[in-house]
Amino acid sequence: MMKIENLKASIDGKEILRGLNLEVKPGEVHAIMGPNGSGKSTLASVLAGREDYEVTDGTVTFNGQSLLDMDPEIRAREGLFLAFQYPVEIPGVSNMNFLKAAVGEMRKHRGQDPLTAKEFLALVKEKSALVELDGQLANRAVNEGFSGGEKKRNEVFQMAMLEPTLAILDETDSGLDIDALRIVAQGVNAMRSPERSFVVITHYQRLLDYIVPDVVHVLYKGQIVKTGPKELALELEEKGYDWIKETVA
Amino acid sequence: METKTINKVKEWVERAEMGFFYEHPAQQEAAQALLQMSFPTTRDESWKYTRTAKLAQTSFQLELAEVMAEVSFEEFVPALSVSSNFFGTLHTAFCNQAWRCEVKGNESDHTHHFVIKNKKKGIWMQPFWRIEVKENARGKVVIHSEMEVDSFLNGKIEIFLAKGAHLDIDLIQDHAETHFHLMQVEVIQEEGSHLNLVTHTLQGGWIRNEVKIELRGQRAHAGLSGFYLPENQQLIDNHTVVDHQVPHCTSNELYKGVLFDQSRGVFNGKVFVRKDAQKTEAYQSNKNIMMSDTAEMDSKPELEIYADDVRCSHGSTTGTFDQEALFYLRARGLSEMGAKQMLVSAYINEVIDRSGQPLVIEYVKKTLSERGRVIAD
Ligand SMILES: Nc1ncnc2c1ncn2[C@@H]1O[C@H](COP(=O)(O)OP(=O)(O)OP(=O)(O)O)[C@@H](O)[C@H]1O
Ligand SMILES: [Mg+2]
Repeated sequence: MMKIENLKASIDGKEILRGLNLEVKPGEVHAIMGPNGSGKSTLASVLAGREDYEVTDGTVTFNGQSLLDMDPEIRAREGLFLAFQYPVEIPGVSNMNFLKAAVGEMRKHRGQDPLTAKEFLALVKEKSALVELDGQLANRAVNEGFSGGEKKRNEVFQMAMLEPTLAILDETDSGLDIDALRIVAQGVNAMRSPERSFVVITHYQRLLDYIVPDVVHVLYKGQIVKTGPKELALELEEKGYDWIKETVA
Repeated sequence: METKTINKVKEWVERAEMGFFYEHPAQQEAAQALLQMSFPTTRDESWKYTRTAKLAQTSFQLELAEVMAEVSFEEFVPALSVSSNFFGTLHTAFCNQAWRCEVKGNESDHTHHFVIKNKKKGIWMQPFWRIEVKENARGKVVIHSEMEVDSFLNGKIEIFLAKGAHLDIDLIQDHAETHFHLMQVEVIQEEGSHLNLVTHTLQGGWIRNEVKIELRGQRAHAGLSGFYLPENQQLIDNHTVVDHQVPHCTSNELYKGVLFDQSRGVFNGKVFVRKDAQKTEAYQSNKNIMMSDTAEMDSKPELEIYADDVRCSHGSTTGTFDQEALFYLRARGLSEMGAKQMLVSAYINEVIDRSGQPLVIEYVKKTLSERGRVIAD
């Protein structure tokens, strides 16, 4: 599905990703943990195609194609989805119009016919129910005035609408109350399939109780420094990162 | 240099030889006065950013514009007066078409729709409109200019709102790049009257709008707004004056622009609060997004306040596109162009939606989206 090899990226001349390797196979769920500032969101942004970052070395193949050569919208249409750590508010752009346009682009790219207005509304209804997103929110401007938790749920709602093959969730659990966490996790689990993979960036083991990962990685100073089974998350929760930092240093 | 411009005026006066249309003494007086004037230059404070040289040098022929007016507009002989500014004087001297519209009752479900067109090359039009809304009456007016070829329109709209009158007026400007357009809008508002003026500049090569509002009666409200999306080398200039002469009036002004290519935008908004105009509330805002490095926006809000118990604010912002928003939309599969169009429409919809006329809102949004300027909602 996706293979990252020796990825190096910097911003304003500062190297953030320093030779990162990661392979995600179809149907797998990978968790990425790691201290603040270690480069988790940078990795997500580079994969999604944010132009602020300069990729200085390495390759990323996504379904056999070079991901880094694609524009952000092509990556999205090819099935990559990033749930942002900080979803941006876009006043004046209604969630509905935005989603209609996005779904339209996806379907066009996949060679599917456009949805009728009725089919689109039915889909919105189905998917917003999945994350128990208040129907009213869909009619508001994108994320404008949404609470932190509502923004995160809206990300998962969009993911459900767009049906990506690889979803990267960047701290989608932060800012969620306990019920919302369960709901979001249910939304993700409902989408798990042998063809769809997830990269879940989180600081908390708690999320991984709901979304059980196949592998857990520790990202530190721009590299994956440790990889283990789901129990690694428990160990990190208990011991923190110091013991890993020591082994790296 | 100076004599050269004066000569240009003389040529214009001579070319307008079809005579003084209304045989009104003010017309001859104005023509005489013109000979002592010259086309404004960038040395004139209010023309600092807008050049008239190209206009002055073109030999336009004075003619009548083609109009499609609703019956409710009737031709009339205007009461012309001598103006102090150049284009106003030019207008007085050679005004040759005038219509008026009186709103007497509550016409909130009826629109006075006026379409002025031009398909004829090289002509110079001098139209005049007078809109009068009587005491406690409510009216809706649209003046839609469609100028398809090189030509010049020097127009004037006079609006009088009596006590308690309410007017929604939309100007829709849709012009060829080779058309020069100068529109003066003069509004007088009596007590408790309400004005909602929206200028929709869909397209135009050289447009200068001058709006002047006198709030003469207490508790009057003036809302004025406008948007512009110039591209290529187009110039759109909005000059506004809101004169708070008496207490308890309010004004709210919002102009927004998105500037592409090498286009130019000018905004100058003056708000006067006279000494007696206590309890005035005056808000003014001009916001711009620059879509290219080579576009230029000159924005100047001016507040002159002589009363002490007032609430006024003004602000002007000129910035680039919200890159975060753009990336967010693209990361969901929208093309760069589509995402930009969506953000541009969100930006200017705030202005379009201020119109008091749903049909205008629908028309303007539809037209812009058909032309690929925005993605409609
Ligand atoms: N625009 C920028 N300019 C300079 N440095 C930046 C910029 N963006 C990110 N960084 C730096 O890159 C490093 C990695 O940031 P990143 O957001 O990827 O961390 P993270 O692992 O997601 O952290 P957190 O757990 O706090 O979300 C940090 O040191 C951060 O300060
Ligand atoms: Mg982060």
